[in-house]
Amino acid sequence: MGYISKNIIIFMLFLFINKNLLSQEINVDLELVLAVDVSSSVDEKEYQLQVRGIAAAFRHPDVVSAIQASGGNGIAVAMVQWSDNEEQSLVGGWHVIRDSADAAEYARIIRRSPRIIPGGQTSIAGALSFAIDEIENNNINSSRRVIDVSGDGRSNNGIHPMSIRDNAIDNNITINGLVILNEEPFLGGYFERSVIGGHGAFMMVAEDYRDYAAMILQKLLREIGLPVS
Amino acid sequence: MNTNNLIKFVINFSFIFFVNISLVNSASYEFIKQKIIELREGDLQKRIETVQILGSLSSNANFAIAEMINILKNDENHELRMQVIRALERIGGQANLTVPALIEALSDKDWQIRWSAAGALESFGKKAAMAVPELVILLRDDEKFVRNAALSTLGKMGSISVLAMMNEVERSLSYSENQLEIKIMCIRSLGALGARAVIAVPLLIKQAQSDNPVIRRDALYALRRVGRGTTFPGQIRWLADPDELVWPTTSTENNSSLDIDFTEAKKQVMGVIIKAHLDAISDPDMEVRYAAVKGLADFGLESMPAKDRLIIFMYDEDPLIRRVAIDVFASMGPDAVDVIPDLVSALGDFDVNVQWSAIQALRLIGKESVPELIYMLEYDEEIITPNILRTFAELGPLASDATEVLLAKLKHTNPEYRALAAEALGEIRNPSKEVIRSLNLLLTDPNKNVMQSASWSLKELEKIN
Repeated sequence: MGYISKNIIIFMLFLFINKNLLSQEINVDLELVLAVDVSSSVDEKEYQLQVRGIAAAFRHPDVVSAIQASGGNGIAVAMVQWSDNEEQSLVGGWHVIRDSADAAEYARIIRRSPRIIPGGQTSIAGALSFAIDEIENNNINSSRRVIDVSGDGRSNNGIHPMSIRDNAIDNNITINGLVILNEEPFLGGYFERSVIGGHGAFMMVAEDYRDYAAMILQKLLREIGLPVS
Repeated sequence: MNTNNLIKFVINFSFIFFVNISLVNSASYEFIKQKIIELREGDLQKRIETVQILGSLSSNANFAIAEMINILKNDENHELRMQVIRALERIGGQANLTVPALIEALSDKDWQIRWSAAGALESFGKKAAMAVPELVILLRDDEKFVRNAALSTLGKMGSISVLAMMNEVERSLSYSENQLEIKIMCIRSLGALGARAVIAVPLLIKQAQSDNPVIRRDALYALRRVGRGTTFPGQIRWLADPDELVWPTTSTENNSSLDIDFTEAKKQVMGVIIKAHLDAISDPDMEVRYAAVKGLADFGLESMPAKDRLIIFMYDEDPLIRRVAIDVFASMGPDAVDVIPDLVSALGDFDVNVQWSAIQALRLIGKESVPELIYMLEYDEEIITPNILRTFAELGPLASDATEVLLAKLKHTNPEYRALAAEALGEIRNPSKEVIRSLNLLLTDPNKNVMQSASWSLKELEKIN
């Protein structure tokens, strides 16, 4: 038994040392996860409006200016598709954006990103857990960490998002919301009560998916442009 | 590995170990039992913390519900009771115990308790149906937060609350001091129910002709939601679901003699809803016009009678109106071919969101929009040109006829044009020798964006080869 324990510890030490030797941590001014709803309520057309809207926002000169003015180290961004408690996927990995060329490169990746999750129920808690995990394990350092969760419905699967939201706040992660009132006109209240939180948290409302591009542009500008506290 | 890293490792390992052990224990009966004792015997701060812990355990804390309800009913501390309501919402179990306790809290003298209880009931959906009468009473609460929470919860209860809300909409404005506000909120809530509130369509049509512009606007929003094609009943199986007291469950199957085909009824109701929108696009109030145009985008080709008016809106002074008018044409897809020149003009709009809507409308129209885009590219205008290049990228292979003009733009002095043209060629996915050769030349472009765009497009074209 002692022999096995000793070997487990040696193996874990080996993993730890290698992780530190092989990986080089990156410093940025903001880590941002864009958590995009792909549950069954979102059809292919609406999915396209979301990813094309995000891509267009990253090409906007004001967004690039905000990135360059945010502290000089750029931002790290990743897109997560999510639906029910078991369905989340990181799309295209993490990308560091420091200038317009990086932003255009990321926009191309996002615009071409296929829908990996075909549908499912809605678990905002699952999406938040996954996004928190991605931020905690991405080998990137920053003073601001934000999850930007967009959705058109409240959780109907998995645990209540409040617990995970509170975990995120405890770990210095802010959750902002982009509510799409496509299905539920009173969804804003739910997001305010149960989803968003943390330093400088805010929520924006899109009446439907046609408004998504305009809203995500405004939202990115506010998220990136927020001064370092 | 240095000492700091070793310490960091030990701390991390201990933390993970501790968290895992805690999680295993947290769900156990003994753990919950201990927490119930702490709820009874601890000091106030300890009890509040215990309630929070139980709430975070979700359904694992089910058997602490009775004790928490006891606190909600009998304790006098505001903060503790607020935390209990929040925890009951998070745990979400034993509706037979929790819902009556929350209903009782709806008449609490503390408005924050009423507010929280009304919000918490929302999580129980139809299981909280027995709360409808009390929630309707709360629509007249002195506190706006309480009224809004009650409305929101009613809106989530399904068809069971339709009649209660219709009743409020029909009341005279002199019925109560805040009847106008209640009326507006109920109209919105009927919209929130979508097709389940189809029975309220005649009432909503009447409200869309009200003297009050806010009522007209919100009635249009509600009608739009009720009339959305995807949720509208096709066939109705009468009384198939006793839970749906007002409007029965819908079915697409036709295997019972009790099924009634409602296709014609649906068509007629949709016709009335669309007509209300078409009538309202000339409303004197800007917000009503906006709601009408916004709604038309949901009805696609059915909005065609408003085409001329919509084209005028594309040149409205308000960018929001311009954008939503374009969205209606986007919803028509290839059938909006007549308005391509106007949409291409909109690419030069000073509002970036209007530009983006025009790009998307042209994408949805498809190949038919390419000749006009090529034609306008010759003018080399500062705002329109990059947006035309973006539209070609959005169109992808449908814009293959633009390959030649895009090759010419690769040599433009403006690096933004070169980058966008290179990217569009990658999206068009035509790996001709000329395209490959021209893109290769840009790999040494002094502009990083141009070079990266060319490199990306070449990789895309290689995938085809």
